[in-house]
Amino acid sequence: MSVAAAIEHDAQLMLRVREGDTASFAQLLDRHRVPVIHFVYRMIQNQAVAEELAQEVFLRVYRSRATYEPTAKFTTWLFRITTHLALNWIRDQKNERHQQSLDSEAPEGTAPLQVADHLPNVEQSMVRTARMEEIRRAILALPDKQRAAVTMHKYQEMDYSQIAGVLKCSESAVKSLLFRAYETLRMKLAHLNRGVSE
Amino acid sequence: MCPMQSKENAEILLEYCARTLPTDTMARLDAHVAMCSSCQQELAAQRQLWSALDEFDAAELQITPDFDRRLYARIEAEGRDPFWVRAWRSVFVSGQPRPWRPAMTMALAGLATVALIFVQFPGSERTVAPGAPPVATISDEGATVEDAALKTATVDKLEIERLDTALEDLEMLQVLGTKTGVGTSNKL
Repeated sequence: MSVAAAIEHDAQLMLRVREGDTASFAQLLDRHRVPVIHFVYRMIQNQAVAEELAQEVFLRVYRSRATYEPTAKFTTWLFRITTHLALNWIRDQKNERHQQSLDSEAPEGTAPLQVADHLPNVEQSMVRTARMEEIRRAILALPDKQRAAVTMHKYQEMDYSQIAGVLKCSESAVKSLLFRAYETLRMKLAHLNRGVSE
Repeated sequence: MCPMQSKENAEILLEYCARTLPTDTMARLDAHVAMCSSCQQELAAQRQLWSALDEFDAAELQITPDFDRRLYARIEAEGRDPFWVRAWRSVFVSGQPRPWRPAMTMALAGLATVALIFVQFPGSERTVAPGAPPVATISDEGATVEDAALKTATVDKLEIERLDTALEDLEMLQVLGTKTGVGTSNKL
């Protein structure tokens, strides 16, 4: 299925949901559940919260069924809701100073709980875990919008125009965000690359 | 230094690395990169970064099996809410853009401000021009309209009493004048 056809398919499904077809909503959920949860997880690094926010995303999609108009790509709209909720959550955590920072919770040198929980064998993957931790820290340290842009560009494979649509900014602003984010990540993770090449 | 290292071109190099440029541009850059060690280093660094970012994959994330069940339970629960709650949600807590929402928020804020002012200063709606007669128009700060009316009535009563006293004084003078022969009756 081509990308355009897939986009059309999503919009068609949503229009059917508008007409009361709950099976179409189930299809939309099947198609986008994993990308949405993974996106939020990469943004906030907490699986339980990622699932909770993803539920809120799909709840909002369902609430909007009566007024839905396919004016933009369905995924642009979907990720706009997702990004909005994720950024709000990050902002609220910063404001309330209740962020369960893994930095402060995990003692120095230990694996982060959320990331390490699902590793098949911790002993065999200590090096990998340490690298993951470095990468996780570097991504988390990015400014919120840069982090969202990188996550959409690198992991969701969205193009600039779509990211611009989600973040409500120009394509050149997206390019600038990505350029600065990748520059920062390259500087922070350069030692990992040296470790690999040596 | 290679001109591709400028900020604008570095963004193009990023797109080149992501293989998202048009085919002809990709071909031209392929030719350039093959000759340019500086760009080769830049691309190698970017590819290494992307390779590292690939490691940070959420594929190992195990989504809770009852995710859908919980979602549908929430949808069903919302369906049981009163109409006005659902209407409120569909307007204010939905995914659809509402371009008029900021205007409505401002209007509500304006109404709240007016209500607050009314509660804080309920009797201060009159203002007095400088030099205006104090009795009829001034109402002291914080006084009610009833207070002002009472004050006006009291002043009016005092004026009448003073006039009565003056008339009595005149009558007395008239009587005295008659008795002493001084013509005061013409003055009345």
